[in-house]
Amino acid sequence: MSLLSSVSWKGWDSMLRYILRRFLISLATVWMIATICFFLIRMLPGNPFIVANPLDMTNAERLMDYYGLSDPLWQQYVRFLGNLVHLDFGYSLAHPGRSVNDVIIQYFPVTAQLAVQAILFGIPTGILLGILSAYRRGSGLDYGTQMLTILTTAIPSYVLAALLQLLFSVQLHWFPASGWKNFSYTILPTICLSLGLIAGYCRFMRTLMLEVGQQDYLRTAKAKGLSNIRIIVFHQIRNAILPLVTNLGLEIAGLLMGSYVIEKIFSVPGLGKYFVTSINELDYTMALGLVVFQAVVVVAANFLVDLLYGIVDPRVKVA
Amino acid sequence: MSERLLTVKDLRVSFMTASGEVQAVRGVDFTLDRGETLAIVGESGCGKSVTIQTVMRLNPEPPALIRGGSILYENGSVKAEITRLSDREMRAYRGKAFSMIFQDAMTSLNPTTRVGRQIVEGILHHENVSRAEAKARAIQLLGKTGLPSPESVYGCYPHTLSGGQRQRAMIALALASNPSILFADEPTTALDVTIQAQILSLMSDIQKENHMAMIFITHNLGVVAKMADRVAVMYAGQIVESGTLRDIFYTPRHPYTWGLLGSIPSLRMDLGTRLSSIPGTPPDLFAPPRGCAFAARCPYCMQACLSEDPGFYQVDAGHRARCWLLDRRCPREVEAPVGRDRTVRKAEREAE
Repeated sequence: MSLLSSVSWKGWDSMLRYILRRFLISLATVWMIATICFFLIRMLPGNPFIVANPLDMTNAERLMDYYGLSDPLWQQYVRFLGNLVHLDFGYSLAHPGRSVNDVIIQYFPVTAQLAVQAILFGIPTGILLGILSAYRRGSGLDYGTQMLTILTTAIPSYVLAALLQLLFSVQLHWFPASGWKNFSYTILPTICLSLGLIAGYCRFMRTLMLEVGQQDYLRTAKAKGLSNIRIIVFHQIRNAILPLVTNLGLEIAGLLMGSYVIEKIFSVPGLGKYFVTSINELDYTMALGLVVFQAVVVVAANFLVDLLYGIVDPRVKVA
Repeated sequence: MSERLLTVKDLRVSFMTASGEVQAVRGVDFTLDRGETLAIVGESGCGKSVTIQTVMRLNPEPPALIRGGSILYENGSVKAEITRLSDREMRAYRGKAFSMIFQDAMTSLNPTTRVGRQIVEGILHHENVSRAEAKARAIQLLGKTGLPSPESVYGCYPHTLSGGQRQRAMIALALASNPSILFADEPTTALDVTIQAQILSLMSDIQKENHMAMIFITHNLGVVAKMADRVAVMYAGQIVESGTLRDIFYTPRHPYTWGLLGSIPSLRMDLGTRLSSIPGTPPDLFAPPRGCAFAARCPYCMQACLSEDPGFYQVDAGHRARCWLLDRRCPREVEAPVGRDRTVRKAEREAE
């Protein structure tokens, strides 16, 4: 009967405890990231008002007082943590009147849309190509995809972006070169973002398929009399795809934060730009807010992927 | 009385590798009757696994290539020349006509699929039954292999089972479609000794019950003695001696068989006697020797052994060996250094 316990209520109990523990660890991780970044950014020389706007010193000092930046650092840190608990990232120092939350709410959906499109297109395509080139190992298709993946990995994304614009916008007039109005504007940046994904997942999946292809249980499946397609789909792909899931968390988190370069080239009003400018402008609240937001997204994505992995791979024990 | 199920004639299998052709199986003949157990023994790399995997056509082709010979499967009205079937045609035979139990059940079961589903998959492939019927049958099979609570094992993943339980599940899987021939490729090598004995008796019980024929591959002569009716000793891709269990253990005629038997301890052995080992290594199958494959390691090697393959000598009905010592023209009279008959003779001499 002990064999049954893994599916009984006791299993769910340990599952819940696991989730709770992981959740607390995640919170601690976010807190640590926020703390480290808070002090790191304050160690940068200069202050936000001199950098952003060359005012005279008195004005700058008055603004420093106004934003509470002249208080002792520990007081500011406590205030920052207090606001963080309320999920309030404060007001931007460089763009008066705009809160960091507003910026995230306004620009994150754009970035997220691109990221989701790139993932939905790039990962399945990459996996499919990987499967095909593993299945037809040594064929023209295999060499072709291998060469393409090396090319796309080797060429920087801004070069690829410019080449895509040249081909599809300037020459063929299929898609607009830049801007953000309707779906057709999203296609080039999506392709550009997903090329890297396709290349990475294609190579990874190919390797995994070949690795699983050596396993004894495929011979068992063949000995049962199953067809090749069934063996590949139900036994080989199913086992090969598991390690990819682990990768997914970081991949999603990375994409969700947007690519400054891609967004810049295609004039996409996404979050990527603010990451870079906020640091340059020493916009403390903006930079910190975005970093903490990114930390939350990364930690949450990994948390979800770990849970997902526990479900798809029965060998992984939660708790 | 006996019904022939399998006739293998002069089977030759090679592997075409980047560095050349490996002649893994070089002219193997054997037959198998219903209800009979044939043990194929030999050291690692002698071609025993390749031989039975060729009968099921499990070796990936390429690199494997059937160079010649025939594998005839007969069962009632079904008659098939296995070497000529396409992969698609083979599917109907795999799992149904032949089934195989592999050495390591841990790696031979799909780790991410429940044991029950893996059994059901085979049943559904071969028979037109409902999923519920297939499930009932899978649970019944698991129970038959002596697993204590087959219903719960049905829903288990392989990694949650012990080694013995996994091998039992593997047996249930192999029996799923009631095969007429069961191949067992070192089914107990990965298990500890007490479990080995249980699994072996389970297999012979099931064999008797289903009236199956069985080919047992092993390098454990103890297992051979327990399970086999007939034994084929393989060396370097050839069968060097074959006969009944008694023939091989009591009156072995090939020096390689002597070497094998001499390397296992016996209760009758005098204290202090060293176990013998066979010096040297098997020949390179990229370029097999012209004469007898065992010549280079054989303590009785003669001139003829190096230049010409001896071919088979019929010793008794059903007992043959591939050795020049058995030729009429052979100048030497060599007495087998091992085997029960030798022990008996020695005891008689000492009594005198």
